[in-house]
Amino acid sequence: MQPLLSVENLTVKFHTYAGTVQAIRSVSFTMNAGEILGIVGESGCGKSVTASSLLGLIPTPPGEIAAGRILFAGEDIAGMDEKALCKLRGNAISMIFQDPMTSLNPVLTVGRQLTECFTTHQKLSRAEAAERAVAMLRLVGIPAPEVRLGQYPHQLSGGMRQRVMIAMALAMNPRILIADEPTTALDVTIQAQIIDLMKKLNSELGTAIILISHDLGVVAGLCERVLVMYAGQVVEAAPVAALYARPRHPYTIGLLDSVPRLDAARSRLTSIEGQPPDLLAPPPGCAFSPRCRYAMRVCEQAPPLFPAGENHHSRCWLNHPACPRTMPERAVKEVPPA
Amino acid sequence: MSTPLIEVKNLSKFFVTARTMLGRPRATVKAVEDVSFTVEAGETLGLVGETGCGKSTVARTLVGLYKPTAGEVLFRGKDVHAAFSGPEGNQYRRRIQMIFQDPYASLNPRMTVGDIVGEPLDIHGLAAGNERRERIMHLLGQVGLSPEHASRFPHEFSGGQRQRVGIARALAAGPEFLVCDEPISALDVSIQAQVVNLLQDLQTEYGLTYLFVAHDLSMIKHISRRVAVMYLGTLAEVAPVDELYANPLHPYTQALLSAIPIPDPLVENGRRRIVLHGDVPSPLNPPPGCKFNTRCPRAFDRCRCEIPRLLAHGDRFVACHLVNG
Amino acid sequence: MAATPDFTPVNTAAAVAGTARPATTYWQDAWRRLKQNRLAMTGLAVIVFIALMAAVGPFFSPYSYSDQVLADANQPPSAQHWFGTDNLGRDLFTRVLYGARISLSIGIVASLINLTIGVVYGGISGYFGGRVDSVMMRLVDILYGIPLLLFVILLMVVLKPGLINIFIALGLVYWLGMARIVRGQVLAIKEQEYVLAARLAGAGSRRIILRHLVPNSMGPIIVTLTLSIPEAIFTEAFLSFIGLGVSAPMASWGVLASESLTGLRSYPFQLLYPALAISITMLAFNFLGDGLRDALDPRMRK
Repeated sequence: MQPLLSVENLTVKFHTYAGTVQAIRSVSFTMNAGEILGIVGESGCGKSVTASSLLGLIPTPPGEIAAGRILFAGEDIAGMDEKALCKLRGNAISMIFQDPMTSLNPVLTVGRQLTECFTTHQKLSRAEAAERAVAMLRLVGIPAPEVRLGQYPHQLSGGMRQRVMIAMALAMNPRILIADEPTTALDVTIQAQIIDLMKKLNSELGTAIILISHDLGVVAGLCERVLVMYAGQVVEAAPVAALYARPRHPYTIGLLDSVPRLDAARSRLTSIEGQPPDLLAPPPGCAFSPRCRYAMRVCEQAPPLFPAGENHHSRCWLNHPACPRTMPERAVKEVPPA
Repeated sequence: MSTPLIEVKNLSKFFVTARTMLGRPRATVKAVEDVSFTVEAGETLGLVGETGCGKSTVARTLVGLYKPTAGEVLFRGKDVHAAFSGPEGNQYRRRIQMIFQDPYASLNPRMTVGDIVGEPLDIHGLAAGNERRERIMHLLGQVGLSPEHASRFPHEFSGGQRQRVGIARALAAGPEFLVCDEPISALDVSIQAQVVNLLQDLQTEYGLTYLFVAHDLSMIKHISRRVAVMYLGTLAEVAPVDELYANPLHPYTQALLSAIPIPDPLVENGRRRIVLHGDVPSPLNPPPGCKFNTRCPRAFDRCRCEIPRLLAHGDRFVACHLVNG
Repeated sequence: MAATPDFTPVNTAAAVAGTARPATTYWQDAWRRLKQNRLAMTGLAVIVFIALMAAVGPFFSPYSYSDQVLADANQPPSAQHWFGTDNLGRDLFTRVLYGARISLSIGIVASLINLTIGVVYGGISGYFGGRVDSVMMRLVDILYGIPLLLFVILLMVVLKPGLINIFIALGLVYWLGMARIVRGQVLAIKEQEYVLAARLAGAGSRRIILRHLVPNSMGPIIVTLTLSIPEAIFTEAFLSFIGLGVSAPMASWGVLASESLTGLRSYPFQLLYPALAISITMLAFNFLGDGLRDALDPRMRK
């Protein structure tokens, strides 16, 4: 089966006064229709840049897609002009952001912003558009949608605004919804609501979702497959169950161990010492090796993506068939029965 | 029973957000209303709640940045707000310090890290000249920074390193009680663990007492001995950590705990979640009775008219008509 | 196939302490950005050039600004008199150089008076806030309601024309903008967490103002200062033009422009040179001010 989206060796650079920031270094992945893909990593690892490039939103200059292709339904997004990109955004791929307040226009009512999609793209009449808007708001679980249409963004709570954003993103029935940290600005009880909503929309509408998050818990609950990014590279890619049960990269292991768990006994957190590398001059070889407790001489050479199980790949030399050492186990592994 | 290090008695803090022409209050936000708890010497009390529940206001009132509207805060039995403005004010100030949330806003961008850490030393006249320099180097070492960092400016550091500088500054005054106001929520996951480990090491070394304010219940569970849960300006539940997490009594605590995602897909997919409907009401116009009654799945008539009191059940306290009867 | 990779473990513990990014202070950073701004640098170069000419130029000129040679009156520009002469036979080039001294010093001194009054007034208003702030800022609002130029003209009529009185009149009137800028800065900064931290450490008002508030408001203050200099120069030129400026034989650019009016039809060059000097100086300060605003704006920092 042909994948819905296929990213090949995508490389994005930002030219700044201090030098060239290598924001993404040869990222490749594919995505199937209806799938929920998670991209996890810390700030500056390139996860948001990856998402922006899928929509042609890299500011040029200073940004530049230096190499690679982004194939969506057989067409290369990386090579599209602004007109083609405009048609793509919203119709085929749409995006929601961390802070819904900055992506809603504060001086227009919710209804006006929502109906605009229908009147401009689908040439619906005002009345039809309003009807569709109400239906969309109801779909994302907003009570009394007719009232909400006449309100301004500041009259809505953070959770409501994020729902409106999702409604707007889904208005054109896109094939892919990119959610960039959609719940980071929200409280946990509201976060639970939004996650439930995204799950429901995925199963009912079949919209594929790319969830970008730093929260390993959110990713675990929502995604089917996960990419772990570090210093602009995909360091591990695996189905969600395999990634959490049997991570094959020391960075993933460190990430999982540094989060305390609600359902586990207390023990000292295993932190990853040091700081992520400066992407102006990423270290040669494995970018994680300066912070890695299992670093070896060979880590001075860039590791390829090794197969590490079914559909499971890891960019770590420990997975080399000739490596005499084995992948360390996670510090917290056994979960006491609830 | 010995006196607790910190005793908060019926603390309320209201903010007037609009006044009439004559200066009379027209709109008041009851950020904190009738909150009481204690913090024992050497323990960590976790304070959790969602945005706008008043946890930061409690933290800031405790350290004296806000004057309470009503109630008092006792430090070793003495009213801190009276003591701060008294003749020995600075002696009390030194004992109660704070670590801030935003590592980018909490360091003066025009001062070197050495001067930032040294400022409390200068103010209290604790050290000067060579001794001052040595104290600064020692403090930087304590928080995992190196001596050459002293001459650098804050913007040259990452978020985690800046937070270490903030911790060193708080330690410089020689505090007994540290209020940590969401000290890790602006940091990356792997850096959070570093800072939490550092705070725990410092607690052991100096016998510090912490009030740890956060919205991350997993981290609160990890670091606290007792936990206080706030909702819309009032305390819902205060309990020893293991009891609270194993058997939450207040319906809000129950919902909050069930909403926390667990980083394990097997556990996560098998969980039943109490999804709360609706949003937190505005503190400008809170509901009558129990503040949680608009979202509570188990609310009944009494909850809508009578404010539940925070009552003791063994060593835990709950403010809920269902539990208190 | 390549040789088997070397799987010997290495110790990475040394790298743990973490390295800081390369050191650049705020001012170095601002200077770097300013240097990239070609217009601003041109402005700066022009200002430095004019200031130098004003300072040392007259020493190299064979003429005095006040010597009248009536036989040479109204000469067009030539090798002897680069800018020509005026109706009393005074060398215009020398008079424009002297005019630069007076105009620049008026611009700078008046702006420094504005700075002092504005920073103190705005600082007090912002720092103490509440009722103090309300009263002080309403006063500023009322003063803003009066046409400032009219105010200056009235002051000059009362004070009698003269260099010192121009300093006083301009300084007393044009601090309002500075006061507003400083108050806004102080209001924003005093709620920053680092100021709260200083208060928690027990710092008094003096330390908070001097160590925290003032250094962090410097950027906008400098920009406002730079932009207020051409405003003062222009106002002085206007005052001199209507006869309320410095008194003869001293000559600011405004006085020179005013004097040229009588013979404007026959000797337009007499207006051209002082007018050019005023325009170029104003442009230069405005370019520099705009450049400084971009360079010092912390939101532009990466």
